[in-house]
Amino acid sequence: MKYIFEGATLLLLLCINLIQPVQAQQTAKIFGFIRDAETSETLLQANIIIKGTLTGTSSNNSGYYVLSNLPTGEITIQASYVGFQTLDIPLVLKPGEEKRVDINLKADSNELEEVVVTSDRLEEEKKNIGTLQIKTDLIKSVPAILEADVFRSIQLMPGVKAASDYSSALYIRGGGPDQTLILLDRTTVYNPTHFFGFFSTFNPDAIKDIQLYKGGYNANYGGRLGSVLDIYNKDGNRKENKGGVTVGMLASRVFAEGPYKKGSWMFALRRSTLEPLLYALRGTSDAIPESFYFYDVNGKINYDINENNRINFAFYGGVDNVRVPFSTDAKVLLQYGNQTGSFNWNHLFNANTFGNLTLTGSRYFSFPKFFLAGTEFVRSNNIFDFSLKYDLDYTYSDHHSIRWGLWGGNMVLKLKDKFDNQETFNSRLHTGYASTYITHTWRPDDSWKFDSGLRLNYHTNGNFYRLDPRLAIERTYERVRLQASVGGYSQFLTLISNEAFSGFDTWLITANGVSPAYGWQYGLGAKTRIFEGFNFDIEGYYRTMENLFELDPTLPDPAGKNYDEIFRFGRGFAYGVELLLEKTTGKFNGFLGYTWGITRRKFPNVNNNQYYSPKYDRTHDVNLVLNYQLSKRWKITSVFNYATGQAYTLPIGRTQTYLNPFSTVQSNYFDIGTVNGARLPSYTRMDIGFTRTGTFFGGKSELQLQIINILNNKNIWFYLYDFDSNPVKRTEVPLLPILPTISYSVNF
Amino acid sequence: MKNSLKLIALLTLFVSCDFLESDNNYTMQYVVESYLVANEEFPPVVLTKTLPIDEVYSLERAAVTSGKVKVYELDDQSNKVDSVTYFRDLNAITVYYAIGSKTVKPETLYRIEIIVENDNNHKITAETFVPGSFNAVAANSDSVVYQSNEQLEVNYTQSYYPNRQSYYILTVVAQDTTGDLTPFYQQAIDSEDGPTRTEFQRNSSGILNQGNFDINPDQTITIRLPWLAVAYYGDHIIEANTIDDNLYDFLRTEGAQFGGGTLSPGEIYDIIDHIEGGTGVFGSYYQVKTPVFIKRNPDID
Repeated sequence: MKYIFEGATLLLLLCINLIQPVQAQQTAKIFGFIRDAETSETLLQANIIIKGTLTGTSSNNSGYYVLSNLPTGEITIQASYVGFQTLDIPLVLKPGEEKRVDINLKADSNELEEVVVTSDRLEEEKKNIGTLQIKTDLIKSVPAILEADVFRSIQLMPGVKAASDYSSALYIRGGGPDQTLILLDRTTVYNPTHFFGFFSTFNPDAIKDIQLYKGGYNANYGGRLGSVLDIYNKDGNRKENKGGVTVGMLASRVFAEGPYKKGSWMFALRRSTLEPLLYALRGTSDAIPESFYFYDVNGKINYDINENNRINFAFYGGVDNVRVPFSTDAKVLLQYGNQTGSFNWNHLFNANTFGNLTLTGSRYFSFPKFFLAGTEFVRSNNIFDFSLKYDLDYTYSDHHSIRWGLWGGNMVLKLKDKFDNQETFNSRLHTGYASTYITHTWRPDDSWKFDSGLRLNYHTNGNFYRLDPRLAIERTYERVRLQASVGGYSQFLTLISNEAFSGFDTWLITANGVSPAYGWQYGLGAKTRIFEGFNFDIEGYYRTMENLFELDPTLPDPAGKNYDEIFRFGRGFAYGVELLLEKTTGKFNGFLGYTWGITRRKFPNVNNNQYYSPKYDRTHDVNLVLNYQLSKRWKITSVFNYATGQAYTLPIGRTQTYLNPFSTVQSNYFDIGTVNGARLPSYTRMDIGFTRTGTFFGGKSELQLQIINILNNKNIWFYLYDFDSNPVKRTEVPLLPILPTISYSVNF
Repeated sequence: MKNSLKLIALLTLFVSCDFLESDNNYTMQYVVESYLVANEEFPPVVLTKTLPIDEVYSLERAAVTSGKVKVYELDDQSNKVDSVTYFRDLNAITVYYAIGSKTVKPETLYRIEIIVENDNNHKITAETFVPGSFNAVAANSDSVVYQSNEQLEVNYTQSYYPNRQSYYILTVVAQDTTGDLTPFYQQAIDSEDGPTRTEFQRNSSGILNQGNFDINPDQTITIRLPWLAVAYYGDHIIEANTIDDNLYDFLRTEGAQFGGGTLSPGEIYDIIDHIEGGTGVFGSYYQVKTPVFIKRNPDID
């Protein structure tokens, strides 16, 4: 009821917003694409403003922009994008003119003497509340555990937490990993991990743009309670053939890209190179895999039909494969991975109307097999998701623009277990899904912006309809932008996963008796430039999470149970404050992120039905990332992280069974305090990396030496309790010790 | 502008309040343990207390010797219709035995009541409904070759439990633990700090729902013995057990305390025990036994 009331309130606000009178003026309009001058890659969420004013806009996720309500006569527009030089473009516009202006921005040079100081206010322009754009340069430059990784770089951002050194999963603003919608080229990816969760599947060589919506985002996204990670692969260089090779300790990468007559192409391959290490270790332990490898392939082909029509096909495939004989007559085999493909058509109807059609296909699979003493356990776990999306951007007046979209698809989740050659579980869940949204942006003047939206979601399995209203308001001053947002969010899926191992990840969906989770997000923020070269953002958020449905972690066997009986249903909330201080220019730059956050959950039979902290709840989390260009060739990067120790359950008492009829060995068990009511020691880690650029047979080379946890802090993952000792002995299971890594890249 | 920043600061202060309270102080609890077996005499009851996690644990230290134990048979309206009184065996420290030779009835509700006289007559109570009867109607063989194509298959009639399917635990009990172990278990005891060979005398499955098994045309279910359960060669007893709700909740939550599944490492939940005034397990089950002989496989050894 509360949900309906709040929804109705927002709907009313939306209507008020929509009926504002349209003011016709004798003004001009420009539109076009913003691109990288060197490669002709479109630049997403790039800024364009009238120089010296607050009037401006951003390109959409196809690089297209419309800037209306322009004064006529001689004006100068200014375009900017993070990592690119700001460009001034003088124009002469007539009343009522609609002029196409495609803009090409030059990348900032890496040469020390050519560091460009860009306008901080411009770069601020694009950041909506709860939104971050991650630079691929950051991913490649920050010290990384064995392999440069998108998710681990995102974990450095305020509001984003990591479960442990061993997990790349994203815990954003109190939400678990399944509360983040992960899109690659507009296609959902269900298990974006390699190495069983150690790092993500996204190859930094292939990626062009990463947008993280931590919360408060508009109705063009939906389907998750928390956040959205929208990743776009490169289109490929449209000017010349380029490529690169990187040799690392865990994996090596190769990529190539280039133009052809009417478009461009890109191909990137990454494969693990662990075989020599495994060979050397074989014989030292029973647990060394007989075989272990992973690879991923990314590709994209673009074809320009004409100036106003452009299509592309993008694909991704990744597999992890391991075979471990761990004892006489016992071995484990696991193969898991993802495959995605998308076909995309951009169509520019006219200056005001831009359409984007996408066909997506996504498959996730996991095939674990256990062979133990002549008994087999085999699982077949598949998700097939095919969808069609259409998004239409329409600027219908000088002050109003709308976006409308439709997303419909069909999802099949198949899970089959066999034990000892007998089928013990067979589930085939199928749902059709559809959603439509409309968003409206109203800019009554240079300083105010109202973004409102409605999203209607429908899932056939269970016949669920959910209406999610969204509203964001922004007030811009010369150096400060104040933002507020509120929105309803629904989620129809849940993930069965383990923090320590993602290879068995399984998704389940809503159905009769299992209603969608829903929640409200409230955000309040300010973004400001405090002085030359320094940006400062502060955001506060409060989230509710209702009807959370999760697989009951104590369920021993789902066979024969009604679907709703395998779940536990709970609720939660989270709130916090995030601070981000950035130094964006100069040879010494970086950022300091701080998060103060609280998150809670409540489930039946857990913690006496009272709220408790999930393990990943960290009250304080500080990340300091610093880059210093030592010389023309040498650059040093360091990352320091401090976080409150994670929550864990403190065993306070013990007892044991004496008569257990099902085992020769009697079992011990705990009497516990508050669930997750204790804290591990605080976590601190400092990483440092050195990068030396040079040349290699005419190509640009880069040698990276990195040391993870250079202070060798003994961070703790969790405690193990050994009942063979009396009294019980507590052992610390450590996180990563000091770990040097090296990689060498050549770009040609 | 200044007002806006003040508002943010105020809101920050407001949300800084965290009302979660943690209680990690140890409080002693009484621990009850007893398993009623249908058609068998009333089993012993062990009454102990928990001890702090950092103290040496022993039966002597945990023993509770001042308990007055009684088990009642209840009718459909939970009225007491019969009772069994227990006495404490002075030689067994903390084990209480039933007086008389009454047997546990299937499909019957029982209630245990314990008064701890030395603790202001602290009262502990729990109830269990004993699963309904079932039996083995046929087995394909009384002797099978280890890891051969022919596995032991036993047909059972179906048990009954109100408002749910039956939950099974299959236990393989080796009759002679001095004989040879099968290769997988032999390697386990050969490993450094490995278990002792007697630890494999009773090997049990986890909890298996009846939904795992196909129902035959004659309404029986067929359970096949997985080779993984066989630790020894020689004579074995296969015990098929259907368990009550108390055992189901106790075993599944006790197992989850030690990780695995979807819980994060270090996240420990309390057990679900259905005991008022204490903790532990007061459960019941119905058991059917089938003998089988496991022969060596010349192709494996």
